[in-house]
Amino acid sequence: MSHESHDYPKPFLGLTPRAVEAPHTHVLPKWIYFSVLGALLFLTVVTVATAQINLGVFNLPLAMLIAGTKATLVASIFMHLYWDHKFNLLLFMSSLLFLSIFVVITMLDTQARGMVDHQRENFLPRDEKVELAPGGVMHPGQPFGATTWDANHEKFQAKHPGHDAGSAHGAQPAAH
Amino acid sequence: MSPTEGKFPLAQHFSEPEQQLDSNKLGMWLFLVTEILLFGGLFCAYIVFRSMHPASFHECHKLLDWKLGGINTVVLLISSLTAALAIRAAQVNDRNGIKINLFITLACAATFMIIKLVFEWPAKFEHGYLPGYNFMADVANPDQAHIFFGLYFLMTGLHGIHVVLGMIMFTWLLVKTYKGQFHSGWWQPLELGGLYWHVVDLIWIFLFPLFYLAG
Repeated sequence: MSHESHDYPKPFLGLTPRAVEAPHTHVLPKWIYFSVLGALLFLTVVTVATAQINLGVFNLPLAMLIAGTKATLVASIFMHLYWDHKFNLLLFMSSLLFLSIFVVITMLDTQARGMVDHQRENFLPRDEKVELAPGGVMHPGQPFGATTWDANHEKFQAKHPGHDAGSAHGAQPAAH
Repeated sequence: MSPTEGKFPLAQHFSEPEQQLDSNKLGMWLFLVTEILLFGGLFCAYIVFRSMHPASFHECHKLLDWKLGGINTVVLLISSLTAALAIRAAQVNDRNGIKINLFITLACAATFMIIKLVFEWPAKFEHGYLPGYNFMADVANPDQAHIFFGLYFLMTGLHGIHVVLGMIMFTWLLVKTYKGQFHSGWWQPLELGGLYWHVVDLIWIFLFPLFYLAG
């Protein structure tokens, strides 16, 4: 076996890379990596512990705050974004920015869908051919954001007994 | 020992090592951005359905085993550490360190998949906690519970596929390590593979509380 065929760098598409002086690399001490793992494990225990306590509406924001802290630790130290070119950070943050635009515009529809359907009900006849709105239909007196599917379903069934349109199971009750 | 060990393999279309390193890394980051947007669409679906059926999501999250999810979180976090340490080992020319850390990462990834496919999912299938029309469990509101499990299987399943792809990638990196291709002069494939693995970890960091804890 010739020396070249065993050697690295090996040729790619007929082009052999040149072996040049390696650039200086930024090497982190090991204790930083292990402390980050310690912090991540600690935050995991915290998020599991706080999930067992009922904090009402604050459970989810707290869990997301802890998850966000863990994600920041992983991204900045394990993924070296803290020391890296800021352009990579910009790319990463822009994905989050566009994701939030996507979510907000989607929710402008889904969170307001009940209101629109309520207005439409005034002049659009709803019969059994019309499928219920996927998100449920809002009724007068219901608070914004309330789960409307059940109330709507009941109303529909009262109007059309035995007809289970809009149910995920069709006319069949859930099998056990 | 190869005479080029410690040297940087500069490809012919680059003028200097920094340019080559930055270009490769930029390409990886662009790919990772598409990964975040891929999962982002599913997170959006989760947010919308959860805001529509908060009570159903709360009932359904109790049907998942947070202990198994917690073990998997710990396993993935450890694998993230060893993936980072494998790069560091290459930077300081510690060949054995690369191999050991890559093996631990692979073992953690395998543990993650075994817990998911052997201990977690079959139990869900047995209880009839299935997505969509297949949902067959006796719960308070099966009309809505199937949505939670549809999202659960889709999101953790897609994440699981990423873990399996990561295992294939780490095996490939191990083969290259055994061939002696990584040393203090050239370790970027390890770095880019590590970036991918950290994104897989990042996604699980959000999936775990959303499905197992605060559902």
